[in-house]
Amino acid sequence: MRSVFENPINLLARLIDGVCELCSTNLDTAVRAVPIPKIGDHLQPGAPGSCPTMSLWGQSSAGGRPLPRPVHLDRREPNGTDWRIVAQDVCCGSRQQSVAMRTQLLVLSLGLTWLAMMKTPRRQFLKLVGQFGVALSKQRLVVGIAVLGVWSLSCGDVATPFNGPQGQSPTTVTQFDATTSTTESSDLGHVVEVVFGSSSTVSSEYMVVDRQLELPTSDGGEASSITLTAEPHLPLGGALVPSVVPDQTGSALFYTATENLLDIEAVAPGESWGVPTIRRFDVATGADEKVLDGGYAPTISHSGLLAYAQDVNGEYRKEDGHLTRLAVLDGSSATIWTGEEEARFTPYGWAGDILIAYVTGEGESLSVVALDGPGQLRQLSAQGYIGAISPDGTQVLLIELTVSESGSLYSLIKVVNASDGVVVATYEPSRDPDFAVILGYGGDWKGQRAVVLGPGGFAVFDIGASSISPVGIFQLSFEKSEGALSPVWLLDDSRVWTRAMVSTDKGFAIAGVECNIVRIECANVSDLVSSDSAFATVGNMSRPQP
Amino acid sequence: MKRLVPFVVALVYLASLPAPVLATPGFGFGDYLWFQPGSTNLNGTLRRYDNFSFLGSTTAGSGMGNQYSTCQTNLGRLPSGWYDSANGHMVDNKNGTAIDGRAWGLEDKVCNGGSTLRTELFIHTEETVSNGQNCTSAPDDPHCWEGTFDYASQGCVKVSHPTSVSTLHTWWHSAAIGGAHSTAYTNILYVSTTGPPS
Repeated sequence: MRSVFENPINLLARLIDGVCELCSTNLDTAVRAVPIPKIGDHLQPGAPGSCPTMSLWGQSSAGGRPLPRPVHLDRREPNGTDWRIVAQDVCCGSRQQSVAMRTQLLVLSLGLTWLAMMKTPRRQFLKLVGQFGVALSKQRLVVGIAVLGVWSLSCGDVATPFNGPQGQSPTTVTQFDATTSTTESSDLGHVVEVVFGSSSTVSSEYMVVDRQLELPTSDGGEASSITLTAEPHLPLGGALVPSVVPDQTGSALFYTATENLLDIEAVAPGESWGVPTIRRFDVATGADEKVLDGGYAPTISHSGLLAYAQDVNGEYRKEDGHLTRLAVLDGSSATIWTGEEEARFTPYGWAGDILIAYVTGEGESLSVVALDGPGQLRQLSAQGYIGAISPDGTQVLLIELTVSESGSLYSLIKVVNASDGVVVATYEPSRDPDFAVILGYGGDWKGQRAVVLGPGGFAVFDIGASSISPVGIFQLSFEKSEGALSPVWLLDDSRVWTRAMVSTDKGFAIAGVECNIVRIECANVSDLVSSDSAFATVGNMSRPQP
Repeated sequence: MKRLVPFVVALVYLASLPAPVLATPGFGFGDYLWFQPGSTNLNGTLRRYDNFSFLGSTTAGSGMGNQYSTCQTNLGRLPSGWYDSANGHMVDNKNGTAIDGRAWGLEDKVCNGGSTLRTELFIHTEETVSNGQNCTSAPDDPHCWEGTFDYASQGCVKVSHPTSVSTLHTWWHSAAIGGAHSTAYTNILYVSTTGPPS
């Protein structure tokens, strides 16, 4: 295959097209072949704080054409070990543009050739051109037309280097991280390889697969498997809270399902795409019945109060803001606790008799509120996530965002009183660089230890009366990782359960994963199954629990 | 008969020219955006197209930190696929609760590989209702583009102020694209690591 740089006709075509673009055909191959620079190597000196740059020359694998490929070391990451390389290559024009233009030029050159062959039109054409002061002879005209014809026929070569689908331009810039130390453990940061093997189970007590889940026995014996009547489905809030919630005695499971579920892509704005329902599964009898329509995300208090989000329309409607009220069901009587206020409320759990909830705003911003009763709403965090509620139900672990002096986002961890919102402990991770990361939600708190979702894994803390101490950040490492999914459960002081999501050729798959944070090892505890059938989780965020 | 040949040639040539298309945002008209996630949630690329031709690109971010699935609402980047305009569509002076100024509303989307619905999505920057800057609350004023960390979002696509958002705004309202305010359009944004299928 000839390149545009080897073929002057194609180069001319490029220039006349005037549509030069940046692209990166096979650039990964080229750049990855370049040794990853070490700190201080190959760098042009720059002012303190500026981006060091360097230039390298690579070899494209596309036909082996030798192209100059400037490679810029973009910037140094805050931890001083990771480097991002930005590389760019130049080519031009999309395939569609090329084909359209070449067709036109071919037709034009054929037409001009015919004109040049005829005496009268040729004379008139030469006369016309001569009026512009251009001395054009018959020979020059024929040569020019011939060049045009050859060019139009040869221009297919311009399109061949482009690998993208028709109608689109190639990638302009390829970026990737050249990480030099991601597999190393420091005092607090760990990358834990997840060992995937066959498992004896598919579902678990924390994870529903095809409406099936395992119920643990109180004496620690073999779990019993149950099958729910409806598919647990919690599209709004499903990442924030479990879809299936055991009640305070363990005698029943409450869960959200969706009736009349439609493909949201096929529904017009304002139209219904499903009706949320809350169902109750009786563990003793196996009876599974609907509790109410129009509500979702149930959570049960230690005294048996059931809080849920009540959609103001009683159904999911596309692009309508999904406004809700928070309702509390006591027996068969429901009371609205949020008064006339309508927002996107999602109940999280009960801290004793105080209901803790999220409010989702524009851009999926989250704030945290506490409700002491009907109409008694307080804000706990203007922008933050809920890590967990303390085992005794008196405190809430909050995750909030802040910015370091060097301009990096990271999470600030707080413990606040549920009753008055007073901050009793704060952890500022700037002294522990491993913890200067963005943490998530959906965690757990047992005894003095808490766990929350972290980047690609989870983070563990010890919580004292007025202090928060980091234990470790654990990033799960496995092939084709899509990261860890909430929730993260603390099984005991050393064991953590979460879910690993994997990208496969057939889509996505999920497996339950158990990690030992003392031995720093992780393995799947349930089989890797299609994410379509295994997205619902089980758990009760409320505390205290009997 | 011979006299007609030039006209036939001219007609054939004219017929070979691409038909003029209505200037309307949307992939069906070749006027669209492609957001390609980067190696982190802060360094994606947002490309602009006119009649399927690449016009230019800018850095854009979506999501918090890194390595969070699109199914992690309020954390992971927005899911892959085509997006219609929604959420009030495009406005120049949005006076919202969390997002102000120039904003392109996007439709809700089910996450990749799960059932979680991502909602409240926009393409936006950090600016005031009147498209200016108000950098009064440290360390991260929502009306002030302080630096790279501002590319972080809880799902939206974010572009920098002033250049990138102005370029995007100009592209949207240009004669070639024909984007209007508060108007519904189909397939204005494609999100994927690879370009949209033809």
